[in-house]
Amino acid sequence: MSKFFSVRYRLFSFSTPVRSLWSMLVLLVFFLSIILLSLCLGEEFIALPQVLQVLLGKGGQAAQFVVETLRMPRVLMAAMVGATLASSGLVLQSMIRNPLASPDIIGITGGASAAAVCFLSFFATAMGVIWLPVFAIAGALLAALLIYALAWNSGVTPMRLVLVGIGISSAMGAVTTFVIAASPLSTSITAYIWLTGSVYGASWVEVKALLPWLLVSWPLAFYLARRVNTQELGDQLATGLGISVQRLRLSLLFLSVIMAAPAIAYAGAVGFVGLIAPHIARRLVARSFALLLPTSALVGACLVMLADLCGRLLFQPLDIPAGVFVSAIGAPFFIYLLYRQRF
Amino acid sequence: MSLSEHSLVDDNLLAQSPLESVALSLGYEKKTIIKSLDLVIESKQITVLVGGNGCGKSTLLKSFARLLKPSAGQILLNGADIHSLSGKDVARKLAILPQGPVAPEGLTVEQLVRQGRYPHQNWLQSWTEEDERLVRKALQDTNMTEFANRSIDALSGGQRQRAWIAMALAQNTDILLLDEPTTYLDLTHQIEILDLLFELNATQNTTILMVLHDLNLAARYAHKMIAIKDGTVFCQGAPEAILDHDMVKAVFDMECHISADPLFGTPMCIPYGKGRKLDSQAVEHV
Repeated sequence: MSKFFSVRYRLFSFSTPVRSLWSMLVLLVFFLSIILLSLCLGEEFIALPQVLQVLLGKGGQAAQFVVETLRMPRVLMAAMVGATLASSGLVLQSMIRNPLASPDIIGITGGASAAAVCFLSFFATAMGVIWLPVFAIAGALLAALLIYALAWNSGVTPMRLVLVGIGISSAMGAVTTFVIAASPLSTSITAYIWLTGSVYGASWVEVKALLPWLLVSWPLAFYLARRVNTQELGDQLATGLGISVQRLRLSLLFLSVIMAAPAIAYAGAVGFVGLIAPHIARRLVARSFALLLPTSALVGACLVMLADLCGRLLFQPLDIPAGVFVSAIGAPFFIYLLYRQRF
Repeated sequence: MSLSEHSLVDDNLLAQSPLESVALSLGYEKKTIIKSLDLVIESKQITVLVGGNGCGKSTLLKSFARLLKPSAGQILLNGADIHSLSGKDVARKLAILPQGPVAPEGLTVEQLVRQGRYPHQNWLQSWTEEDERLVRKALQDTNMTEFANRSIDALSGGQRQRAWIAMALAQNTDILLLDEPTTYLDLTHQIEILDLLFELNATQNTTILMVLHDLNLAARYAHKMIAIKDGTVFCQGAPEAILDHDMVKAVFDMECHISADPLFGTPMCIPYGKGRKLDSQAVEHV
């Protein structure tokens, strides 16, 4: 029998494969190293001991400013954005039992983008840019509701959800392009950079705004984890095992929106993370949602942090949006994974 | 003799049928498939549904497992309307294995079998010793222990079906429903699966209701056979009592010759039709 790590204490019990725990530990170490690396590197190099001193609250003022005010929020933002987009992708892939789903494919990102671009063109000057996240989140929710309503046919099947989602996604794309084309140049540039996705200039305000969403969506995801595993066996078996599949599906769609939308709202439409992070995670840990969730999140966080690091360093003094490098690093890596799988 | 007969009657009065349908009508959208059907599934027996393609037997099986809501009438599970019970309640009493289930890519046998424990768990108690014991037992009963860590995709058809049955066994229910559990399996594996189910019924008194296509195997393993035609029960009873030329003619619209299985004595259906005929085997024509 395989090696499982089991815990039983009175009313509490769980069990999980040992190998997966090791993979997660290694990934966690990797994650923490990228954070430290991101804090060290930049226009001005700060040595690791100095960074550690700052983290303990004992650094010099200049270093303190660079690490705590400039780099730290940006790194955390990148990590959270990557983690939530990856989790959202995992939730969608599990829900429709197809590895080709992600918030950017089924129209959630599209809804947020369309709403954000409309806001930038028509309301931003009157209302102030702080309202952008609200519009983006509302747009994503609206798109998800629309997808669900249009896919409804005495219940929702995964295939209908995906097809309707792809339709909505391209419709939202059309809206976005139209509004950008019809807007003045300055607005178009702002909108375009937002669409690529960037954590440029992130501050603690944004970190604090994004964090509560994570604190809600993550526990909910863990709560649903066992149901998600069972649901992946197919509608009939899942129903036979006592799950109300339709209710679960609606919960998961909602969950994927409250995971992805805030990240998109604050960092823009960073693509691709939601698609590939769960794939990479599946290679690292056993196929169980409760293991895949933190693993995907860590992978997603690492990807976006690395992408942002590249964006900051490679073309100095230009600051290239992280979204560019997520695709630039992610796509070849993804294709490599698929290529290797053939043998 | 009279005493035993008496107790038999009493037993029948006391023993409630675990599963029955009352004035059951089923349909998809506007098409009615089953109309006002009363059917009783005997406790602790193997019951097999037979019938032609599209006669409604799979639909009927699904409704017995609460996968399909009746358009009228009721399904009673131990006397209670199955749709008044919660999904988990039902799943602790009744397991269903649908036709041709597909496992997520990369899932191992043990992970699959563990899923069978879902209705017995909650989010605090996600893995008790009882769960562990029943998973091990299910793997053992199906001879799958050695494959526990294999990925389902890497198994042969017969092993795969055994893995799914192991999952249903881990659910530890008194009633087991299976939709064509032997489809796509070669003869060796068909017998292996049916022997496994027969053994389960004999040793653990599991009530089994399944759909089978092979009439001869159905006759060999079933205590009771229910022939479905056009959404209604054409006849039901012990295979040796109901499986004859007229029944096959009516239910399957096919001419056949019925003789006794030389090994088991159960009725065996030999269809007429075209084919090579050897001189020595003179068979009377229709």
